[in-house]
Amino acid sequence: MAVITNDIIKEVKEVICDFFAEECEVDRSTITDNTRIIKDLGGDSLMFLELIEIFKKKYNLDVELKTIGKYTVKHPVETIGQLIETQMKIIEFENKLIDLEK
Amino acid sequence: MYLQEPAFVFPAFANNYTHEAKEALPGLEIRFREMLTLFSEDLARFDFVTNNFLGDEFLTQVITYAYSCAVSDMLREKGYRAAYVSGFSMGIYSALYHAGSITYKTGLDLLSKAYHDSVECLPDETFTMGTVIGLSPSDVNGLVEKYRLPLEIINQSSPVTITVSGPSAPVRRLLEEAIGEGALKTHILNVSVPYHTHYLEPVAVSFSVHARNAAIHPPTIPVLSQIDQRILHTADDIREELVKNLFRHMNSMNAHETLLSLGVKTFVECGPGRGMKRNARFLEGDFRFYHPSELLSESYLQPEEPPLK
Repeated sequence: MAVITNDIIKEVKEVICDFFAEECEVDRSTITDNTRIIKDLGGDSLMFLELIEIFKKKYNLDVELKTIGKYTVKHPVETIGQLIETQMKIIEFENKLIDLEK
Repeated sequence: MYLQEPAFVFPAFANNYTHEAKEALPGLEIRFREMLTLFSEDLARFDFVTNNFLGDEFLTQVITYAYSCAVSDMLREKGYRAAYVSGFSMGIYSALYHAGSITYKTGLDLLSKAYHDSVECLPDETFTMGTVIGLSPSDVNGLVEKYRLPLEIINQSSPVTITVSGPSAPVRRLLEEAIGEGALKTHILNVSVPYHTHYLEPVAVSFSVHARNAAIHPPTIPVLSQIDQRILHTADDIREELVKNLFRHMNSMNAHETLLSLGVKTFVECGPGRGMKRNARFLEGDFRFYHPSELLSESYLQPEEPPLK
């Protein structure tokens, strides 16, 4: 389990916002925590999957996609803020994410 | 820009043209509409923003076919030469057009016959297709077996992107169970024909006749099969492939890997949308994947051969 620092939070937020700005061809400054990924940006689930892979490599995470899938069923991700929050949980708990639901 | 050993790959269809509205590639829209007019003047009023006509399963295929043919023509005129072409599902027709195996009109005719023959042969039951993202083929197959669902896994486009096809109720059930199993996302495709399944085997008889009577020429560019990953060289190879393309499973991940093994270093997604390019990000290998907008916009240099050393 990783200790979440302010630097990690800042980095995760930057990676996510930069990613969507580039992928969805929108001005980075228009993306806020309340921006809706699908409705406002035209994003899709493959982008979410790609971000997971980016963070898995970046932080050397041991987490199965299925674990993340089971977590997001109960904690749906609609906005950039929710995605950042979910990503922080993945980094912090990795495969133990599933235990949060028990 | 010089592309090293490029493969032009052609999607089956797209349900959203938002990117195409933004890009407005010079000259493309005029050519695209001319091609749509050859099908019908009404369809030429297709709008990139409102996406009219995309509720119609067959017209969606025609629009994608026209767009893919138009964009691949422009790439050729700009000097981009494909080392291989490969068409995903009904994208085979635009791949064959680009390879000089069929004319645009022959492609339209075969696309139409493939769709209408398929619809006519189906039993009185509703069908669809669906995609599961986040589970492996063995996970999905485990669910199919566990619940004895009469559907087929018809494509794998990445290690965790699986497409199934079959009767609507079992497909929907599978997608529900997949979410419970930990899939990140599932979605139903806007189709009513169970392409690439045994349900379409009866079409082989009538469609073989159409394929035999159609003017099909040996391709000038090698065509890679998405079904069994062999290279199609002759007109008879093409005819056989067109028939099998209706009821045989595909594996676009294997097709991608085969192209890499043949020396392909760059891929160009010749069609609307970005689906193939996005899926390719989950595939291993040393390659680059382009969308035509990256090659056709005026800011890019004309392609040139690298200097001889």
